[in-house]
Amino acid sequence: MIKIKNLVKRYNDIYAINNINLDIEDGSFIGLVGPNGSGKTTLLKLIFGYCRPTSGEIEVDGKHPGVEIKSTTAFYPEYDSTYHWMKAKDLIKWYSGFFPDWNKEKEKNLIDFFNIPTHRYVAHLSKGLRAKLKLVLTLSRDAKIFLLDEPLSGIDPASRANITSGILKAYREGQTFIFSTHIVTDAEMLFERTIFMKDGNVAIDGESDALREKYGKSMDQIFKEDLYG
Amino acid sequence: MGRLFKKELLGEKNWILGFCGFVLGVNFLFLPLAKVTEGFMAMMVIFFTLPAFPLMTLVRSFLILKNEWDSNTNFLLLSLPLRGYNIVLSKVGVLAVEIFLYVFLVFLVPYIMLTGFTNQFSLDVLTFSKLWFLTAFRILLIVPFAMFSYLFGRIFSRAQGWITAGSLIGLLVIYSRYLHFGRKIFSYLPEVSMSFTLAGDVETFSLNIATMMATFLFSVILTLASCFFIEKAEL
Amino acid sequence: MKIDKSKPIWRQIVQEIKERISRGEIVENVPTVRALAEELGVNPNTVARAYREMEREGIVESWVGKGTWVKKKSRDKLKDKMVEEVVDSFVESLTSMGLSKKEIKKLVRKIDDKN
Repeated sequence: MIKIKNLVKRYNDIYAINNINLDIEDGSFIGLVGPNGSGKTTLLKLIFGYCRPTSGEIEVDGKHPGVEIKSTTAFYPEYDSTYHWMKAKDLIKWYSGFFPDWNKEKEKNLIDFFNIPTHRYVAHLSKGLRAKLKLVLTLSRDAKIFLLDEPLSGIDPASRANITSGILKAYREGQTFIFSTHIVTDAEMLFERTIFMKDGNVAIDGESDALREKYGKSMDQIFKEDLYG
Repeated sequence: MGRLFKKELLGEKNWILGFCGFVLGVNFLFLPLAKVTEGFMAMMVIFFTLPAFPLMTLVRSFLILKNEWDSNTNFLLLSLPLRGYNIVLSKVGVLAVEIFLYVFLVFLVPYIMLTGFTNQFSLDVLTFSKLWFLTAFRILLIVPFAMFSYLFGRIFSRAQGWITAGSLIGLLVIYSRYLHFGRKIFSYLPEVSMSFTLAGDVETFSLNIATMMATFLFSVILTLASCFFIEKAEL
Repeated sequence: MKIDKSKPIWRQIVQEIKERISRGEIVENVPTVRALAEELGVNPNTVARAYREMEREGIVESWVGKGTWVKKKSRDKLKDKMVEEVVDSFVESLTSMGLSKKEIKKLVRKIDDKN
């Protein structure tokens, strides 16, 4: 359960997050949709504890963001955060050792599914493979909450389906996923609930199928036509 | 912690090898001169290479953190379910290994030359070890100054570079003021004196332990603060 | 199956499963929630919701640990219903073209003769 109350994050005179209130139930798969600069990344970082709110409050399972929640929460950063001087398999082995909830079988399945040549140095992997390696690092855990920041950005259109089905394979009922993206059409069928963000605020928030019924449109059409058209 | 330390050590591998190569290279470059000057040149090498270390250590301590930020690996490092001290201390640990290694090499080669090429110089192993340890330890105490200022800058979401620079200057001002009191706290400690034989004369010099212990206390406080700050850093 | 993203997905899954049952593609075991979710690329919870709806309608029944099964009478019922729907729309489109019921009956008999 993630509770967000009157959340504000200000950088100089820019409000990256401008008074957000949200409740996120356990076991929901959420799409966090918005254009670049709408505050998606900042919101995910605030939930994980990568930065602190200017004002307002966040509770993750009753705890404050930061070290306390990192053993039950996984974060997928948009940036390439891998150590390039390591071999892919060494990076996975090194990283996995820190997590009691590491699932070796999930790790193996994901490596096979994404076809990652783990014997190679990370520096020699393509950008797409590095993103997939990062997904292995994030998704191989049996964490409670997964915060995925733009897993589709920088991925060529032909490979997006591969990424989303990898994420779908790793998803287990009962886990909470928050999947931020500005590329909606390839991912929207994963979202039980879609939260549309605009200028640091929540513009539309609802169960995806209910929104489809209400607007008679796909999430992608709502994103393009109703919010930013 | 061991797992983190191993990663830091492997990450620094090329740097360590490069610098050891540099120290040895400089020494061997002066080897012919050392013969001619009966060891005098070897001693001069120490005076050339050693003063560079404090500055180098300051820069290295910045870089070992800044590199994580510049390459975005801070996202990976800070996603680990570890308290800040694990991350800070593993980095301090690796820098300690580096510094002790460099200082050892800086002293070792001239020492071998001096005792090998001249029979006028002698220094026993215990004194050598003391000299090595105290010099390296003194240089190591610089590390927390850099780490503190870097991480202090990182807890703010803007003007991080300016805050880092400002806090380093501020820290040095506070440190110089503090040293007057700090020395008094440890004034009961005796000075450590060492002696070597040069041309038949026994030369004795002494090091002030009180200053070093006062600095050590200051550095410990800075390290603790750094451990706290890294958990509060803004990414 | 092609999913139309502008309409509620769980309803389309219900429709799809009903069609598969009536076509005889699904006889006893309905695919597991996870298998169907991965096949269609949709969230498993959406599939589970579709299955719950079908259970409520009495088409399938599910037992914990055993999965979801088609009820014995469901297939025939669904088939009848689907045939009815097809016939209805067939008649409707022909009537809209101006044909009377008599003419339509004649047409259908013609098909019979051909075969």
